[in-house]
Amino acid sequence: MIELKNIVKDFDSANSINHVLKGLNLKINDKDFITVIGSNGSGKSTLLNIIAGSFPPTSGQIIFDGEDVTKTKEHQRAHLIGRVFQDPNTGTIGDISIQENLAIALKRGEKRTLRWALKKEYNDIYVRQLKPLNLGLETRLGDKISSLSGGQRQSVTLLMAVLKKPKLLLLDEHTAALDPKTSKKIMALTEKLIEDNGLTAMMITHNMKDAIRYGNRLIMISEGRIIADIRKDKKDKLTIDDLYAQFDKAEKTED
Amino acid sequence: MNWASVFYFLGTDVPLQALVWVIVALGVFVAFKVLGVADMSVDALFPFSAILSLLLINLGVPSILALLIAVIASMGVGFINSALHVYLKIDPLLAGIIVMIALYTPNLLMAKGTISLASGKSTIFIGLNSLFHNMIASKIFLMAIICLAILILAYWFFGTELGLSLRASGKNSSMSKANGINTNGMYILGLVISSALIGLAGGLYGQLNTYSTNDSGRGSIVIGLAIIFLGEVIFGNKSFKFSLLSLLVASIIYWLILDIIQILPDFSTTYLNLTKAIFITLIVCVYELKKTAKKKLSIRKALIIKEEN
Repeated sequence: MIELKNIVKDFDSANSINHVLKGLNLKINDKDFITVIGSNGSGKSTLLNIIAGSFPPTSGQIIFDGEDVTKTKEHQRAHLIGRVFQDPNTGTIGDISIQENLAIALKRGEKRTLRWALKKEYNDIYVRQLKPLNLGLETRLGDKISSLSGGQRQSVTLLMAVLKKPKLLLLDEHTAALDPKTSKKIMALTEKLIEDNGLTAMMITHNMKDAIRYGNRLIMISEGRIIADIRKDKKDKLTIDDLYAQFDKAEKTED
Repeated sequence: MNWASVFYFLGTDVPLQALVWVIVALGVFVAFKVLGVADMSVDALFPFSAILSLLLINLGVPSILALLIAVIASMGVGFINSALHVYLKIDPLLAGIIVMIALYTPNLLMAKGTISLASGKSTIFIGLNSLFHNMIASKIFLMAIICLAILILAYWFFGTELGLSLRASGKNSSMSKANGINTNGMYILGLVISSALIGLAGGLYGQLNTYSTNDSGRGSIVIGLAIIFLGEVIFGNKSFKFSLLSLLVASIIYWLILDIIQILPDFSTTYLNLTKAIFITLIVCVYELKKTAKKKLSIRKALIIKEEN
C-alpha cells in the first residue's frame, strides 16, 4: 500500500507564494488503477511529480509499503516507480537504439555495473515483450528510437516502465500528444499491461471518457485537494455530466 | 622545398599529430557529445598536463609515472570542474571557463613560460628506440598502440551498463532519473573521464616534443570539435562505436589538410589560428547543410509513405 499523508506543496513565484497542494491525503491499495482528473493548475501533475520524487513536498509524507521515501531523490526511488510522460520524446532517447533504451529500463533502480549492457539473453526478453504489440519492433531492436512514430515511441516507453515490475506505475497524460486512433491503441495496451502484470497504477487524463472507462477508482483534484474519490461500483455508473456537476459544486464551495 | 622533404614532413608529422589529437577529440567528444557540454577548460588543461609531466621528469620521476601523475591531476581538475556545476550550480560553460582561467597560474608557476626536458632525462618514447633505432618510428609506434588501447577501452566502457547510463544521462535527464540513474554522479564521472583523456593527450604531447609552453593548448577545444564534426560529416552518425572509429580517421584527415596548408610557400605560422578557425567554420557549415538536407529527405520519404497508404 502507498500512502500520501497531508502533502503540502508551495512554489515561490516572483512576489507571492503559490499554494499548489493544500494537505492532500491518499491511500493507494495494491492493484488499484486510479484515474486522476482535474482542471489545469489543480495540482495533479505536481502530485505525480512529488510521488516520483522530481521535487520534495513542502511538508507531508510519502510511504511505500511502510517505508518513508519522502526524503529520497527521484533516482533513489526509481526501483519503486515506472513512469510514462506526456511527451513520447521524454520517456525514450531518440539517438540510441530500441534495445539500448530497453537495456536502460531493464536495470531500473539497480546498480549500473561494468558488464555489457546489451546481451543475447536480454534480447529474448525484449522480443517476447515487443511481439504482442504487433508493431514489428521485435525485428528492429538495433534501430534508433528516432525512426519510430510517436505512438510507437510511447508503446516502447510503456514497456520500459513495466519491464522491471514497478510498485507503482505513473502515467502523466501519456496519450494526450497522440492522435485519437493511436491514443486508443495506447490506452488498450496500458490496460492490458496493468492487468497482465497485476500492477498498481495512477493515470492523469484530460479525457473524461477514459477516466470513467479505465481503472477501478477515480479521483478528482481541485485547488490542491482531492474533492472526490469514486470507487468501482459507483464509478461504473458515472457519466461525464456527473463529473462536470461535481466540479461545479466544488468550485462553488471554494468561492 | 623538395618533394622528399615534403613527404618526410607529412609522413612523420601527420601520424604523430593525428594520434595525439584523436585522444583530445575523444575527450572533447565525451564532454560535448556525451554530456552535451562545451568544456572550455581543455585549452588550459592540455598544457597543464604537458608541463606537469615534463616538470616531474626533470625532478627525477620516471617518465611513465610522470605521465600517470599528470593524468590523475587532470582528473582532479575535471572533478573540480564538475563540482562547480553540480554543487555550486554554476553554468557548465562558465565552470569550464573558470577552471581554464584558474589553471593559467599553476601553468605559469611550473613552466615560467617554457619548459624543456632537462638534459640526461628521457621520455616514455626512449624505451622503444633500441628496437627501432629511429626516434620518430618509436614515437609513432608507441602512440599508435596507446591510441588503439584508448579507443578499445572507450568502446568497451560505453557499451557497459555504466557507460550506457552515462550516455543516457547526457541525452535525456528526465528519462535517466526515472530509470534510477544519478545524473549528477554521471556528470562528474563524464567530466573526470574527459579530463583524463585531455590530460593523457597533453602529457604525451609534452613528452613527444620534449618541451611545452603555456600556450601549447591554445585552440585545443577547437581542434577537438573540428575533428568530431569532420568525422560526422564524412561518416555520418550511424552508431556510437562507429563515431569512435570515425574520430581516428577524421583526425588523420584534419592534420593532413592542415599540414599541407602549413607547408604551402608563403604560409606563415602567424596565420595558423585564423586558418584553424576558418577550417572549423567550413566543417560545421557542411555539417549543418548535410543535416538539413537529411531532414528534408526524411520528410519527403514520410510523405511518400503516407500517400501510398
